[in-house]
This record gives sequence, C-alpha cells and structure tokens, in this order.
Amino acid sequence: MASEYIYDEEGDVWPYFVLAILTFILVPLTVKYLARIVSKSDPVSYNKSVKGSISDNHDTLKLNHNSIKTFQKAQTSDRILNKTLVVLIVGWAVVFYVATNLTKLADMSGLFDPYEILGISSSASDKQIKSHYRKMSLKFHPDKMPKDLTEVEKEAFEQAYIRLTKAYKALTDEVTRENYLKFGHPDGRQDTTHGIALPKFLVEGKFSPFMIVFYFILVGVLLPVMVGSWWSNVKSHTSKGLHVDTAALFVKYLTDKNPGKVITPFSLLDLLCGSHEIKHDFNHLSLVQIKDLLTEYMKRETNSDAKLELDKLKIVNVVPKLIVGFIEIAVVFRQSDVVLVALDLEKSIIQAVKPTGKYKDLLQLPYVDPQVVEKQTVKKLGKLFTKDVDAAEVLGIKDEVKLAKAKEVAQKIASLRIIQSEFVVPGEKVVPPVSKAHLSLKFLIKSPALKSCPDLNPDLLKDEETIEYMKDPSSINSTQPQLPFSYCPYFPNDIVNSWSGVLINQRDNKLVEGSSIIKLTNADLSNVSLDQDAWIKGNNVVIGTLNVPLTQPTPQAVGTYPFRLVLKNNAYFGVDVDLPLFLEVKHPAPSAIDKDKLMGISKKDEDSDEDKEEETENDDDDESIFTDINTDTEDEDEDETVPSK
Amino acid sequence: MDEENPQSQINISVFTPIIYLCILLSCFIAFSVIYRRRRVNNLAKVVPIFEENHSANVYAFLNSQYSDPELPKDQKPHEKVMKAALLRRGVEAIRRSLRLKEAEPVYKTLYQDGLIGDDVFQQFNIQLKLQELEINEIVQQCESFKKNWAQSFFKVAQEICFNEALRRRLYSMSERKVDLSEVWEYYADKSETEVAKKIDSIEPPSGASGVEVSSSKAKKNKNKKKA
Repeated sequence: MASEYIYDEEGDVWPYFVLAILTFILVPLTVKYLARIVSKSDPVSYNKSVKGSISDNHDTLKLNHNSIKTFQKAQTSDRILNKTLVVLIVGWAVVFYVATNLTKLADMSGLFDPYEILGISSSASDKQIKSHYRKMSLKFHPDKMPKDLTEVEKEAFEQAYIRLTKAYKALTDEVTRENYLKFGHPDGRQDTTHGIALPKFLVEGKFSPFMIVFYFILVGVLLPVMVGSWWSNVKSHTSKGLHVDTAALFVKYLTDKNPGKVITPFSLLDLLCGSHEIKHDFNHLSLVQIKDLLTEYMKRETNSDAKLELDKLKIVNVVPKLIVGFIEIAVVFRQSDVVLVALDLEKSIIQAVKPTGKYKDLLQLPYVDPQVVEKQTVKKLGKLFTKDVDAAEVLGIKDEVKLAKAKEVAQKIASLRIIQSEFVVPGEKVVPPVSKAHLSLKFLIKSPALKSCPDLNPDLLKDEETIEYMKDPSSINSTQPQLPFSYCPYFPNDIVNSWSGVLINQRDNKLVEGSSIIKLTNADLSNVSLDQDAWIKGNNVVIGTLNVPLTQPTPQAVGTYPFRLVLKNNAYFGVDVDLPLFLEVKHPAPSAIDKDKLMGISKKDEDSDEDKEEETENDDDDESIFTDINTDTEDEDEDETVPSK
Repeated sequence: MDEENPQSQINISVFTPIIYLCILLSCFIAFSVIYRRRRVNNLAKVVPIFEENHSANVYAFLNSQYSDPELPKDQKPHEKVMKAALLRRGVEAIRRSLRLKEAEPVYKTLYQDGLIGDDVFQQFNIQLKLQELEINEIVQQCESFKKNWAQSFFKVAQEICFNEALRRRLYSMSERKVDLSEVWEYYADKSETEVAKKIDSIEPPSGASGVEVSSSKAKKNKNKKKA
C-alpha cells in the first residue's frame, strides 16, 4: 500500500466531491421550496369546485379592503422571493458550471468486472459461461492472431486474451473466485490508493495556513453555531410551535386561575396580547394600541393609517394560532369553560365580529349594518328565510344586489343537525364495562333556509361493520370529502373550515380525562344546495358520520354516565352543537350460542327483542337532542319577541 | 519529510503541554460557568406560577421584630399577633400545596407532550420543593410557640382555607354578573327601564304594569342562570 497521499493535481476528483455535496443539499431544498409554492391553492377557485361551499372573499364582495390585498401580496412574494431562492439559484448555477466544465471522464480501467469482460449478463449460469468462454477463446486465442499486426497491436491482443481467461477463471475456478469476491480482483489484493480531493499547493504549499483557517472556521465555528442555533430554536418553541415564554404565560394563567371569576373574551384577548409572539413582533406598538387595533378589526372598521392597518392584519393573522396553542394547553388542564370561550373568540377573530352580544349570527354576514341589526329582534339565520321577516329591514341593507349576496351567504352557512348520537363498542350490542368504546355521531349538514328534518331510513344510520371499521371506527371519517375553505372576507389568511369539539364529563363539568380536541374536518356539503322539497323527501340527503374513539376505557361499574358534547365551528356563528349524551354501561348478555346450549331458548326471539329495545332507545335519544338544541333556542327567541311587539 | 535528519529535531519545552492543558481547561471552565449562569438567568426570567406570598412576607417582618433583642418589650408584636400571622401564612401554604398537587399530573403530561419548555417544568419542580420547605418551616415555627401545636394548627388552617375558597366564590357573584352582562350585552337596568317605558306607553297606569315588570325580571334571571 502506498504510504503517501496522492493529491488531486489534475482536478479529477474534487468536482465530483463538490457535486455530491451540493446535490445532497440542493435536491431536498428544491423539493421543499416547490412544494410550498404548489401547495398554496386559491380558496375562491377551490371552493367553486366544492358543492355547497361559499366562494366569496373580500375581493368578490368588493369590500374595498385594499390592505388585505397588500398583505396577501407580501405573503406571496415572501413565499417565492426569499433566501431559499437565492441559495437555490446560486447552488444550481455552481452545479451546472462544475458539471459541464470541470468534470473529466473517470478512469475506470482499474476496476474488474468479469461479466463485462466476457460480455454476458450477470445472471448467466455456469453452463452459459463455459460455452460463451469457449466461443470467445476460439476467436481471441493468440494462435488465431492475424499475422499482419504490429507489435503494439499484438500486445493488446494478448492482453485481451489474458483478461478473458482471468474473467473466466474468476467465475469458475475456486481460488480465483474467492480472490475476486474478497478483493474485487482475481489476482488477490490490489494496491489501494488514498487520495485527497485537493491540489497539493493547498495542503503542503504556502497556502496551507489558509486551508487550516478554513477548516477551523468550518468545524470550530460554523458547525457549532449552526447546530446551536438549530437547537436553541427547537428549545425556544413547543411541539405545537408556540414560543416557550408564551406557553409559560398560558400555563401560569391556567394554574393560578380564580375559579370564581368568569373568563370573558376580553380577558382572554388581554392574555394573548401579552404573548411573546405579539409583544416581540409588534414592540413598536403599545399594549393599548394593539388592543385598540383588535377591537377596531372586530368592528370591521378600517384605520386611516395604512401602516397601522397592515400591522392590524399581521396581529389578527397571529391570534388564531395563539388561540389554538392556548386551547391545546387548556385541554390538558381539562378546564371546559376556558376552552369554550377560546373557541368562540377564535370565531370572532376569523369572522371579524365582536365577541359579545346575541346578534353574532347576523353580524357575520357581509354588508350588514350593526346598528340596525342590534335594534331589532331577529337573531338567528333561519329566521331570515321565513315569510314574515323582511331581510332588508333586519340587516339594514338597502342595495338589492348586496342584500341578495348577503342572503346567499346566509343560506350557505352550513350547520350541523345531529340525528343520532351514541356510544358504541364495535361488535357489541351494549357497552360493556372496561371496553374500548367510541362516540358515534350521525349528522346532516343543513342550510339555515331548510326547515324541519327529513324522515330517514334507520338502516342508513348504522355503520357497516367492515374489518377496517372494527379495527378503527374513526377510519370512516376520512372517507367523506374534506371541508372547503371558510368564508372569512375580513381575515387576511385562508382558513380551512372545521368543527372543533370537546367531550365534557357532566359530573365535574370538566373535560374527559386524557381527551384531546375532537376535530370534524370531513363532511359532504351537498345538502346545502338542496331545495326544501328535496330536503323533506330525503332521497338525496347525505348523512355524515363522525366517530371519535374515547381515550379512556369505559368505567368498571355498571350505570349511566352523563356527558356533554360541544362542537364549535371555527368560522361561523350559529352552527354549533351542544348536546347531552349518556354512556350506559351494561354487562353484555351471554352470547347467543351459549344461551342456546344452556337454556335452549330459540335465537330468533332474543334477537328481535334486543332490536326493539335499541330502537326505542334511539328514539328517546333523538327526542332529547331536538328538544335540547333546536327548540330550546327558538323558544328563547319567541319569548323575547313577544313583549316588544 | 523526505529528508529526515536527527539534527532538525524540534525541542519542545515542558511548558508546552501544560500551557495547552491550561488553555483547554480554562476554555471548558469558562464555558460551563457562562452556560450555568445563563441557565439560572433564564430560569429566573420564567414568570412564577404564584403571585408574591403576601402573608409569608408579613409574618417574616413581624418575626424579625419579635425576635429582635434590642427592641423594647412594648414595641414588640404580641404573641397572639404572631400566631395569627402564622395561621395566615399556613392558609396560603395549604392553598398553594393543593393547587400544586392538582397541577402535578397536568405539568407532567404537558412536559411529555412538549407543550411547555424545560424551564417551566423545572421551575414547577423547584416550586414543589419550595412548598415543602415552606411547610416544614411553618411546622418549626409552630413548635417554637407551643409544643405539639402543629397537628391542630394545620387542621384549623385547612378549615380556614376551605372557608375562604367558598367565600371567594360567593363574593365573586356580583362580579360575575357584571362580566356576564358585558359578554351578553344584557344590561338589566337599562332594558328594564325600557320595558317599563313601553308598558307605560301602551297601558294606562294601573297595578298590572308592576306585575309585568316583575315577570320580565324573573325571565331575565332565568336567562342569566343559563348563561
């Protein structure tokens, strides 16, 4: 083995070295960059392709909110023109230059591949190799050499024959084969050379100090700094992307909370304004200014100062992320009141509606005059579509076109109507103690303009017990189409619509232990575009499903356990669900076969009995749900409308 | 390297490795000192879970006067004052211990899920230890006043603590009313006068209007309860 290093004086190797490193960095970076650009789809055009969704934004509604445009433009240009783009351009330019100008064909003569020398495929059998070698040796044997060759050509001819024989032996002879397998060459160990992909003058010449400084900076400074900054970035943010100081603030707030005090949206906003994200990025604004900007935003007013207006949008853009982070933490504390207020506040921010009062359902519509709305008595969206209500008067919109648009938006705000809710254990007829149950919801997506509920075949409300379902009941959720983007013309960013829910234990009014936020992200919206007759007939009505596995096994003791399920939309008011649920834990009846053997009771009777029982149970459930959600709120409305008339 | 001859040997002084070691060690020490100092600073920067412990401060101040030998006797606080102050301190300690006990599994889950930073979790653990020390100190102080007082002391302190918790909830009712009426934009006084005016304008003044108003009041109360 040669003891001395061979330097890359000719420049044979280092271009490959550079190419390898550059492509190793550039390819993933490019993929990430392109994915970020491509992933951003236009919400309006996307929503147009989804049946029953609202495809309006501030632009199509002509709300004259130019700052949103500037904000979005800045975001888009940030996404395309950033540091990554510079790195990519420079990197690929270097790769292109090196690849075309500096690489030479590598000398592969030192490598030995017997199959290639013999000219056969590597999958050839021994017999094939032998016969092929015979043919080749007949052709290339020195005895068959043509006589009119020069000395050099003769030499080459002989060499070729030797190589041929070696290759043959490498594949057939025991010893040579072993040599080949061990060292990669039939003659045994070959001289290996260790090269440095640098020219000699850089290492041993007068430039060597530069090289040492370069390496020192690379290994001693750059590498630790990069790793350090990466690590401190990881440490400074929680797993959900919240700054640790913000998380500390939230945790402190939730730990030492006065239970007697009401959590109001304003106290929550104050807390959010104290977060690191807002304090640090907007330190040129005072706390009072930030709060004023948020209030102004929720009143849908514009600031005359263009700079402040842009700041306002930036703050508003951050707040929902903070709220989501806050909810994540509050859920671990199991504090239901805080979570519900936070979910409502998120809605207010996204829809630019003030978080107080009873007119939020109407105030979320475009063009409404809040002063007119708050003086009349109609509060629900559904009332807008009744005969005795004049929508123009209620909403305070005088322009016909604008009124039509507002009504169109109101009609398409999809709400949930739960038609069946129960706790189910797959494969069991009852919920046995200490079993893995899940909450099964069947719901209809409904437009506020549609009245009453269609009669549905109860068979449609049963989940098909496929293997997939038995394994994971929540797998059904994702088979439904994804919810589209929310209608939120005042919010500067795109929001995908969803319902977030919590399951509350009614015994202590806290969230169920170990629970996380229930997410409803998939549902078919096509019911929204049905007309009243088709809706009542119920033939084309699509039933939605939401299966949520319970995190804890069912209780050990037999009995009825009361729960409360709250589902809140992230963008629309008046479409939430709040219903009582009862988990009935029973010992399962002995299986049919056992019973047959033991008592000889016929199987048919038992089955029909149980079916009947279940049906009556379901009916009870439905009734209680309807009285709790719908009629209750309407009763309130009517109560309040009577005295003022 | 090719012309190796024994004359050109470099003489290395004994100090070279020592200096090398010194530099290396001092680097490490400097790093660890700076790193630790920064960590402590960071830990101090984390917002404490509880506000300042007012009753403990009051007791500390009284105790310094009580045990001051130079102070004349008539200026020293009375023993009963000392005991009352200690009781207040005990109540706050129990409240905090309960809160911490309640929050312990929550913090563990939060830390496991990576929802809080290391500093917060570490600070919480320090707080737990401090709380233990606080209780131990209270026990010592108890014993200094009267032997075996600690047992009955904590019973009484706990009772006071629970009573105060109940009172806090009770007294917060009027505040709740204000907060909730703000959230629901339901200003009882304002709407009541409006309703009364309307009734007055519709009906001639008689005993019936009073009944109407009271019934609307009852309705409002019902709504408030719902909220």
